[in-house]
This record gives sequence, C-alpha cells and structure tokens, in this order.
Amino acid sequence: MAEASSSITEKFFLTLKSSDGDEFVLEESIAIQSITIKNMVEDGCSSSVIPLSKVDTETLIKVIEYMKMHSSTSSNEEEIENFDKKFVSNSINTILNILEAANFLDINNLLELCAEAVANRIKNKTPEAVRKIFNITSDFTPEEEAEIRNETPWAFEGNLDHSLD
Amino acid sequence: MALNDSERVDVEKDREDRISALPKNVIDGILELLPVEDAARTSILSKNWRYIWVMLPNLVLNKLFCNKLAARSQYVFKDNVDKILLQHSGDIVKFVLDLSEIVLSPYPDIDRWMIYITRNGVKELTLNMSNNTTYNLPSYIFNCPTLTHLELLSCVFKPPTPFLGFPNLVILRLEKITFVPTTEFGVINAPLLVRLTLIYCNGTKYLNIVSSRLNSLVVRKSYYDIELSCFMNCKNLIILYLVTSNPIFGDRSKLQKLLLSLPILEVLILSSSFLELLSAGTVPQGLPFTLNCLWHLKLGINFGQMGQISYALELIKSSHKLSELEIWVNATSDIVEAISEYLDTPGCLDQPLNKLKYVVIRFFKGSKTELLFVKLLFARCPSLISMSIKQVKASGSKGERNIVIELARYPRASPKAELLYVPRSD
Repeated sequence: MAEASSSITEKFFLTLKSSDGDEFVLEESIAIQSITIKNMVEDGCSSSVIPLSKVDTETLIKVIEYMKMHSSTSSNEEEIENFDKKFVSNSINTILNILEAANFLDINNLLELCAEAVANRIKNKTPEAVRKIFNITSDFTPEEEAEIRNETPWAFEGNLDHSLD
Repeated sequence: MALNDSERVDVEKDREDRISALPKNVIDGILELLPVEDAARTSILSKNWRYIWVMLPNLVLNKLFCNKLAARSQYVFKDNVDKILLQHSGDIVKFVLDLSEIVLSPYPDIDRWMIYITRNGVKELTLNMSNNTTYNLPSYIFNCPTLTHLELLSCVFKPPTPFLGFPNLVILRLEKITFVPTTEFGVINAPLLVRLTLIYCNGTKYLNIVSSRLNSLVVRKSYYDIELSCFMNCKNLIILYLVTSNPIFGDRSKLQKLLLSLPILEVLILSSSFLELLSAGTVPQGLPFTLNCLWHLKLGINFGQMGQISYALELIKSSHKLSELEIWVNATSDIVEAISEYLDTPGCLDQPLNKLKYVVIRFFKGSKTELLFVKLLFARCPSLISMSIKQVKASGSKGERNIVIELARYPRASPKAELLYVPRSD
C-alpha cells in the first residue's frame, strides 16, 4: 500500500480480543469508527488489549473487514457500495450477530446496514415465513392469533410473500 | 451421518431465535425501517413480539398507507386511525399523517387525533393535508410544548391568542400554508428555532417569528410578501435562500440591511427578481457589505439587465471565500450592446477570484453576454477546477457547435480548469 511510505504521522495500533480469546491488531484510526472503542482510547484504557466479551471471533473478523473497507484512507465509493451489497448477503444469523456487535461497538453505519438487511427479510412476508427465517416459535393459541389479526386487519391483507429468501 | 460436537453446536446455534433476543433499541430500529403494515404484523410472531409495535415511539402513516385505507371508505380510514392510536402504548415521539391525497371532511377527526398526539409527548409532527383544504390548525398544536420538529402542508395557520410561541421548536417547515391575520398576531417566540422553511405560503407577511439561533432561512414563493424585519437580528444565519418567480415591488433597503447584518452567512441563493430589487437597475459602485464566510453562491440572472449582471459581479467580488458559484440564466438578450461592452472591460471584475473552484451555469442560452461572462470567469479564476455549462436545449446545430468552439477558445487563468458542456437531458 502506498499510503504508509509517505505518511509522516505516527500510526497507533490497538489489539482487540474476541470472546473466544483470539486477538486482532488493528490501526487505531480504523478501529475508532467504533464509538465504544473511541471512548476507551480517549479514556486511556487502550494501552493493553481491549477485551470484547460480547463479540465472537467469526463476527469480529466480519466487523474488522467492514471497518477496513470503510476507513477513509482506502477504497472509493463504488467499491464500498459493492462491498456493502455483498456484506448483507451473509446468512441471516451472521447478520444478526454483526448487528448486535455493531450495537455494542456503536458503529452507526454498520448498525444501519444490518438493520436494513434484517428489515428487508421481514418486509412483505407472511408471519409464517418470518418465523421460519428467524427461527421464531409461535406461542399463541389460534384464538389469540385471531384477536391480533382483528386489531390491525389492514396489516394482514394483500399478497404477502411466503418465500424464505 | 454423525455430527461431531462442534458441528452439533453450530446446528443448534442456527436454530436459535437470535432476533428476539436483540436489545430493545435494535429491534425498535429495525421496525422503524418498515412500513407500518409490516411493523404491525410482527405483533403476531410470538408473545415476545406481541407489544413491540404498539410501543414504538415512531408512528408513520404515510401517503401510501392512508390512500390504501381511504380507498375503501372514509369510515374505514377514520376507524382504523382511531384504533391505531387507541392501541398505542406509551409516548408517540414522532407522528406522520399524510392526507395529501385524501379529502377528509369535516375535520373533527383530525382535531381528535391531534389532541391525542400532542398530549402524548410528540416531538416531531408532520401533517400533510390535501391542496386547497381549509383545515385550521387546532390550538393544541400551537400550545404543545414538546414539539421540536413541525412540518405542515396545506393548513391554515392562525395562532390562538394569547400565543406564547414554540419553546422547544428547532425545525419548522411550512408548505402551502395560509397565514391569517388576527387582531393580536404578534411576535411568535421560538428561541431554539434553527431552520425555517416557507414554501409557497400565503400571507407570509403576517408571520412574525423571532429566533436568534436561526441558521437556515428558506423562502420560495410565487410572489413576494415576506416581512424581513423579524430576521434582522438573526446573526447566526448560515443559509439564506430567497426565490420568487415574479417581480418584487418590495422594500430594497430592508433586504440590503438584512444582508448587511449576516456576519457568518455561508450559503446564499437569490433569484433574479431579488437581484433586480437589490440593483434597482443601476450599476453599483461596490457594496455596503462583504460576505466574509460565503463559499456557495447561487444566483438567477437576467443577462439582458445590466443592473443584475453588475450586482452579481459585486456579490461575487464581496465574497472572498467563494468556492462554488452557480448561475441560472433567467433570461438573456443579444441586443444590449452596453452590457457586452461592460463585460468586455477588465474593470468590471478587477480582482482575481482566488478561491473559486467550481462554476455551474444552468439554462445556458448561448447569447453574447453569457459568453462574455464565461470568458471573464475563465480569465479571473486562477484556481478553477471546472466550468460546467448546462445548455437549455440541445440542438446539435452548427450554431451550437460554434458556441462550444468559442467557449473552448477562451484563455484560462487556471491551468487545470476543465470545460464541461452538458446538453440538457431532461
């Protein structure tokens, strides 16, 4: 990469530790896209390893991939757009893990991207399809379901999508 | 096939209901991205989800939703909105009701909904009525102390008396609103108001709103009747947008005084009618003010009017930080020799525009005065990066080709300046 050779400013690195115990070294300027990490750096808690007890290794790898792509020094708009498109095609469970991590790490763009991806899997779908996609088990009796449908009949009309895409 | 332990854990993980375990703020965020039908439908997923939708702080009944219900009947529409509000639990922080394509009459239902909303902590309220309705905004809206954002379309704005103002309002956007004078239509206090937008409103002169924090004032009208006096103390104005399509018979000194009192203005947009008013048809000898922070200037210019062209040049000269200039060619004329002569003398722009980087000229008609104007800018902008010229209509004729050749020949003070000639596509 060309940017390292000409850069005068000193680079700082942080070490992030996943809940599985794996450590990742990351440039500080990239890592502080996470407001949670940024606050830790500003409070001076970043000299040693930053433990992220709520983020497993698989998820942390994805989050770091995202932060690298979106950090200001690299990649143009089109690249970022294509990356985001591919990123949200991860399995829904992966997306949900990243969403929770993004919420904990306070990375707003990533949170919005994943929330949008989740919303798209709910939009226009039948409740049965949504339950299957997200492994939700219904605990309502048929009578209770009828009552709920009655409260907002307009929400259950029209051609709803049964597919699980 | 036997699974080993870690594979078994993975399969179990895949069957886990992860979404229901997400923090409340995350689930709320997801539901707020969905149309109201999809969000409401989540109530049936499981007991975990039963009351999430009815407790969402944002309730958006957009045009699509309202039109769909109203297509059945007014009764169905009103009944369902009533039910939605009755079922709702907790504060409604943001409420949007778009009736712009529905005629609901009479209005007591809307009044009732507004009472409910304004008593349940609403901060952001959008109410769009259909064209030419005469819905009088009820007093509850005016007296709602929690409002921070208010957007209204096609209503009648008549504050109750006495009216104490909007104590927490930050953003006010009024479109096609009719202001009605009352005997005590005094000053409206909005101490926190930052953004005021008035689009095609009637009776604007009756609106006398005071906010020292205002940083954006946008007024677009078909005819000019705004009372500028109340904005004289808006020292924090950063964006000023004044556009009207008809000639103004207004108060020149007030507009000048306003421009004089805006020390940190960064963005200024004026239509040709305002330039005409300011120049009063004469060539100004310098301006009584400088715009020290202005970096974006957009002007409508009639290129057949010497006063407008020279006033525009004075504005450009008075803006030392100007980096983006956009000109709309409002009208032009080939027969005014005096203007061509004026633009051809170096004295009309006697200083280089060192900061100007981007120039856009829209509705370019290719008259001699426009060409001379472009020539002048090319010669006087040493940092220019691009001059983009958007033709009013693409003809591909020989005349047009000659114009492009002419434009390309002009000497450029900036070695990196590009000429972009764009035929209008729409």
